[in-house]
Formats: sequence, C-alpha cells, structure tokens
Amino acid sequence: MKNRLRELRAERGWSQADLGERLEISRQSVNAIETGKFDPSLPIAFRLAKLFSLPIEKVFDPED
Amino acid sequence: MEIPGVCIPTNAAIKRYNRRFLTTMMVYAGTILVAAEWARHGHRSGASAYAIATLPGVTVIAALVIIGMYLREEKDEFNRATQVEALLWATGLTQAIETTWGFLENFTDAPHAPLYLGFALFCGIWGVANAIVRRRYQ
Repeated sequence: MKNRLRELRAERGWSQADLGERLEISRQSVNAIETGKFDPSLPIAFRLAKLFSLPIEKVFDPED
Repeated sequence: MEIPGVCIPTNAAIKRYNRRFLTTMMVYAGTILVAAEWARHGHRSGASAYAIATLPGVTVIAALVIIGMYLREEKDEFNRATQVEALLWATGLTQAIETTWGFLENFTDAPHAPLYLGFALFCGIWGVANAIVRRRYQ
C-alpha cells in the first residue's frame, strides 16, 4: 500500500530510526512500511496517523 | 534476527530469546554427552537408559517452546511476520527433505541419515530462510 511516510518523516527531519523509536518498532519495520512492501496492522497505522496529526487516509493511500 | 540461536539483540524480546535459546542449547549438548556416556558404559536397556536417551529430545521441545514464546513476546509485527514466514519455510522444507530421504533409503542404496539431525536441519533452513525473507523487504 502506498503511503506518505517518507515525505512526512522528511518534513520533520526524522530518520527511519527516529520514527521507529517513536513507534517502538525497528528501523527495518519502518523501511518495509515506507517502501510499501509491508502493510502495517491497523493499530500501527493509527499510531502513525496520530503521530503525524493526520487522518489515516492522508498517510496511506487505500486506492493502491 | 538472522541466525537462529545467535540473533542481533535489537529489542527486549530478542535478548530474552537469545538468552533462553543459548542456555537450552548448552543443556542440549550436556544431555547428549550424558546419554552418550551412559550408552558407552553398556546401559542400553531398561527405564533409566530410555529416560536418559530421551533427555536431548526434551531439550529440543523446550527450544521449540522458546521459539513460540519469542513469537508471542515480539511486539514488532514486521519482525514477527518475517520470522513466522521463515519458520514455515523451515518446517515445510525439513519435512520434505526428511520424507524424500526416507524414500531414497527405502528404494535405493542411499546411506542412512539419523533422525536426530532433523532439528539441526530445521535450524539451518530457518536461518537461511530468514535471511532470504528479510532481503525481500529491503
């Protein structure tokens, strides 16, 4: 599933490791989600949306 | 986590898994030595011989329980998903190899392979499968 994680992370100057630390997941997990190779569970997706203060559909593209 | 038993400690669940698994493998090696020594002294029948010969198998069961505990305790869903996929590959391929080898032993002059190598084979395949599965997500 496509997402805007890379862009949102860059806006805040966070590395993948920084984002992983905030979500309590590994950098590898962030990379896998960011590149669209691994779809996160609903709890992680909601935590991501909350972290960026955006609705979930503004972070993930459900059309893909 | 790339190698079963010796994993890169990136979180608390993996650290606990490493500690438990390595301890169990040391006990496993100890039970093999005890069973071998017991057999070498001619104790090959009776309840005590069977009980001692079963001990290495009991530690293998403990190792499998420890793998299950790791999967329950792992909070990182990506790690858990890749480990489960690698474990499925290891389980399936180990069974396929052992079954195929069994037929080879029955129908050809292929040498006998000891069944106790099954767990080592499973761990080896798990390690390789884990590296391959994780590479897909890079």
